[in-house]
Amino acid sequence: MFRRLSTKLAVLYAGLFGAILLVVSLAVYSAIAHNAERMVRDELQASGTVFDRTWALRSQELQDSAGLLSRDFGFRAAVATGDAATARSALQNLRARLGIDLAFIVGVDGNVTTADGRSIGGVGGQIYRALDEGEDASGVFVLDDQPYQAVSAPILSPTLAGWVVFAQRLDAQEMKSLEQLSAIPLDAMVLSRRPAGDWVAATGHVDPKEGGLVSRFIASGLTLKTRAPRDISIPSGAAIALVKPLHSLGESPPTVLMLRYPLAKAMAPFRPLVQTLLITGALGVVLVVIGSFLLAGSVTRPITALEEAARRLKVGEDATVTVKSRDEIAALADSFNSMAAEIRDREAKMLRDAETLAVALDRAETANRTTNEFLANMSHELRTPLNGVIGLAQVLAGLVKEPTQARLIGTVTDSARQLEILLSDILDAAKLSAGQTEVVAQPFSIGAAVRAAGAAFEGPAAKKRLSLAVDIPDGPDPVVMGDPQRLRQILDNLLSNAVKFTASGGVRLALSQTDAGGQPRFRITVADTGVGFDPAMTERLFERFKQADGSATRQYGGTGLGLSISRGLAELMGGTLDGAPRPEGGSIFTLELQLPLAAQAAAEAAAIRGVA
Amino acid sequence: MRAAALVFLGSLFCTEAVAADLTVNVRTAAGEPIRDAVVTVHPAAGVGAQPIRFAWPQEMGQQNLQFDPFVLITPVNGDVAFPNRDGVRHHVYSFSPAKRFELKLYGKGETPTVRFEKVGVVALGCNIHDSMVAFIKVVDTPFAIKTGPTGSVTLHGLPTGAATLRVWRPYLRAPNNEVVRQLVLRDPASVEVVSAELRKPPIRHSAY
Repeated sequence: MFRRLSTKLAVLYAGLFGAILLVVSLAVYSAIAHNAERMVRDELQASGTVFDRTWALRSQELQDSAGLLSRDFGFRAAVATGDAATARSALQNLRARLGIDLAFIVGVDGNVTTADGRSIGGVGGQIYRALDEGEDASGVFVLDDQPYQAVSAPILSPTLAGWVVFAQRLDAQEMKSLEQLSAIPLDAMVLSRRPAGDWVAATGHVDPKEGGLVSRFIASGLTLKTRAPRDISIPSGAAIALVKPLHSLGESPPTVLMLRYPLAKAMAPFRPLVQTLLITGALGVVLVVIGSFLLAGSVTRPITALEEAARRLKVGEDATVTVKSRDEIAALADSFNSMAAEIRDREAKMLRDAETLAVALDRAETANRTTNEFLANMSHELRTPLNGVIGLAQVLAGLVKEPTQARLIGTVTDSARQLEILLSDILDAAKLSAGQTEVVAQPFSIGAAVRAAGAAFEGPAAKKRLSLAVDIPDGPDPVVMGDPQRLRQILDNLLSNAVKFTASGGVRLALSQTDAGGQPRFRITVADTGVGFDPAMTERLFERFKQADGSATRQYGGTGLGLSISRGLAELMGGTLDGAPRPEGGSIFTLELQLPLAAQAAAEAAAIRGVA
Repeated sequence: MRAAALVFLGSLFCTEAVAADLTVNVRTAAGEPIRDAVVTVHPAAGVGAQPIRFAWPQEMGQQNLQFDPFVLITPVNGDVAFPNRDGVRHHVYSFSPAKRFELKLYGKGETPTVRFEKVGVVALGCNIHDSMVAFIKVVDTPFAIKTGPTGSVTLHGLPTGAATLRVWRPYLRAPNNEVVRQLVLRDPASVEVVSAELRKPPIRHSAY
């Protein structure tokens, strides 16, 4: 992906740094967030308590004022005697003096007398029933969607004549003062349940959409016993809210106080910290990238130099590396330098050796060729006087009648003939080595050729009381293109060896034919029951002047050139000659030749001519 | 006390040849006796013109921040003393139509007196101590008596014949806190059982 080592290192370092930074940032942020959330929860609880205190205090104040009025003798007298004007005047005075939002008298008959003469409608009846029950004549009632905190005091004269009710609005201003009492900027609001069952925000700074969500939140999970702050979700994000149910007066609809704190606000003080962290982190990443590029450069420069030197070394140029540092790479460069020097030295020595070798080889080849030429020439030159010797010996044999002389002349003739065979072999071998042997391609019947070769050895075999079997397949005898003289020479050699090395048993000459890719392939085997040979010696048999055993030459005679010449000829004819000892004794030699059929060859030649 | 009763009985015999006793048993439906119930009888023949005197002291004392007694029966035009036996001052008042008055703050040892000219119920309160509540029942019949812990009282020497029986008590669950019953008194004695319930008082005061 990243091809350059320095890029890889830079990416690696930057990645590591980035990962560490990310982990640290996340840890710090989550710690901060966790802490902030805990603080918010604690503060909400505390604000709830503050609200309780404030509520109780104000309730007490109102209660005291109401009690004071209800015990005022003139007021008692006015209520007891039905002097509404005086009672209302007293109510109004106290209301104005104490800044009470709503003050009224509820008579034992349920009649409501308000300070300012305004009607409070059905709420009056609700309040009367609550007061008449007498259980806890204080709490929250809702008038025109506006919740009021209300207290009451009975008017005794001395029997119950009615109740003084003082109420304070739970309005935005109240919520504001509550918010100001809190250490955190929370949102305080009072929600009341409407007859339809939905909750409506009666106070507080909430837009209607948010109010709706809040009421859904309450409706979904609020039991009026909820005390601990709960998590909620509002349009501006996650928030924590504390919901405190407020005591309702009688049958007044339920109301709750909700203290809500958006978590985004809690995180706001930490935003600069997070920003600093991010900026520092980004700078760090840039520095790490630059630094790791520089560092990687210092590491990879010597490596690049080494790589360059290795390339020079490959093409044989000077490959010395200079590395200034003293680290492992410098050590590597030193090793490389000494290795390069060593390679140069060795190369030079090898060049010298090769030259010497080439000269020696050349010399040896020249010598070999000279020897072969000499042998070829000498054989030829020797043959002429030898022929003379043989001819004269034959002439002498015709002239001499005396048996002893005739025997001596016979011996001369035999020796000369043997010498002639030897010379012929040496000549053939030398010609083969010198590449002067040629094979011809002429049509001949292979079966007839093999049979003729076998027939030639019937006499010698019979002389040694050996059987000679010639196995030619029945059917037409194919006419093939090849060199019958050379084939005959090979077979003569193989058969003469077989007869020569076999003391008892027999020799078997066999021809078989297989077809390989349309070309007939002929296999001619010569098997005997003779002395055989060691399998390890097989290849030695085909070398010049070698017999399986050095002693064989002395025992059986022969030049040891026959098999070498035969294989040379077989290869010249595009075939193979192999020998192997037979497991049951004796040996078997196999000649394989691929010879085109004469008819086919002629047809092909005709075709070529036709095309031409 | 017994001597006073004999004198009282003697005066009855002077006017009526035949006398009857009436025993009134005031209790709740559950059978609990109701105390502090004022039982009055108005014989159809009338009660005569003599000033009414009762055997019990005409006094509404204040002691331990409460009125004593809780209910006092007073004859019309009778004077009732209000001795303050507490270490604190009291401000006794009444807004009742039968008698509206106010005894402004007075201390220990002072004994103001109030005359009750009208028949009816006077609810007494103390403007300082709201838990002090008492009632004075102003009657125009000598045949009046208050039930005790047994809830049962007997009026002696009533004239036989038709009469109106009234049983009044504070917080009695009845119109004007009163049960009214017409009956015929017979010689020598009659028994009436009045069954009623009590309301809860608006405040917890010392009589309860």
